[in-house]
Amino acid sequence: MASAKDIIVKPIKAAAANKLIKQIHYSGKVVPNSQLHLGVYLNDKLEGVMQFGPPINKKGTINIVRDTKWSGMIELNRMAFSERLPRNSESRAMSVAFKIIKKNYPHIEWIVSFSDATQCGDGTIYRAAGFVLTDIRKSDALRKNPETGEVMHVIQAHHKMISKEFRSWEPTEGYQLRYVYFLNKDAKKRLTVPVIPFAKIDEMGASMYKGEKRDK
Amino acid sequence: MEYLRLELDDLAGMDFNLDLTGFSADEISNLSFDDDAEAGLPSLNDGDQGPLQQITFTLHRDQIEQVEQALQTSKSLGPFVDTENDNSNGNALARICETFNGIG
Repeated sequence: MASAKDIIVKPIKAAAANKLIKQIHYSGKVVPNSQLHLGVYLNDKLEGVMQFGPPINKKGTINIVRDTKWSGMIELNRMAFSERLPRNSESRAMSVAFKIIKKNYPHIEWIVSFSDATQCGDGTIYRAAGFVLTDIRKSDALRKNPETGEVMHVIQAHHKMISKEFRSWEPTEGYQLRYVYFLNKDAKKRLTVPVIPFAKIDEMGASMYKGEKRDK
Repeated sequence: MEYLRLELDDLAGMDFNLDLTGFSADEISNLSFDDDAEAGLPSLNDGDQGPLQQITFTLHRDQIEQVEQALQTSKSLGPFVDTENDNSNGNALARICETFNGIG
């Protein structure tokens, strides 16, 4: 029986990564500005993807770690793993991915990722992978189009020039959580926001796992 | 869909004739991931924010026409020289702003 140690992580083409994301990511949508696409293979078969790139709101995000250079951080934009991958593959894959980034892009000091506890999860795998929690926020940035059911981010709506219409849609209910992983451990000293204890997630009623809200 | 892909993958692994599943070759191909997807590591910017930046504005439909007309007028005044910017709209807007700022 395969274990997480059997997986192999390597760079893949954007088209292949996007195809997998569209098929198995809960949103069904890719982030167009992803730049680094890492595939997760089991028995020579592509079974997962991690996509990295600049955050949608880089100017607003970069300041959470003081003195970060413009190219000194990256966002884990999308991550999707098939049901075929063994237990703990996510943390294993992220650990390998971070080693690849640290070795090949030494200018990147930290990685940010957001977990969507309105539709997906509160970031269990980020916590297991060594991320720190830096924000839990009631989300009104994501709203659902009542006609199509499509969930859209406020900045995406802005780019599509439908902000006014967007504001009339119902926000998705729940929270968004922001996690940070430090490739350069010293950079953690420059964090400008408090590290939030993981217990706060339950306290705030922000828990979600695989799209299901969890009670305290 | 995900479980269907897994089932079909398993069947393919057993040399099962997938034509018998009732799915067309295209449908099966669309369900499967690209195993031959390997690529090299891309180069990522390791410098400061580049000199070229983008600004987004929101305009009313009626204003768009005005803006586009002004951009065209600006472009018609001659080529843009030594701006270190290949974006003609950006250059045209900068030229308008230079003129406008000069008025004050």
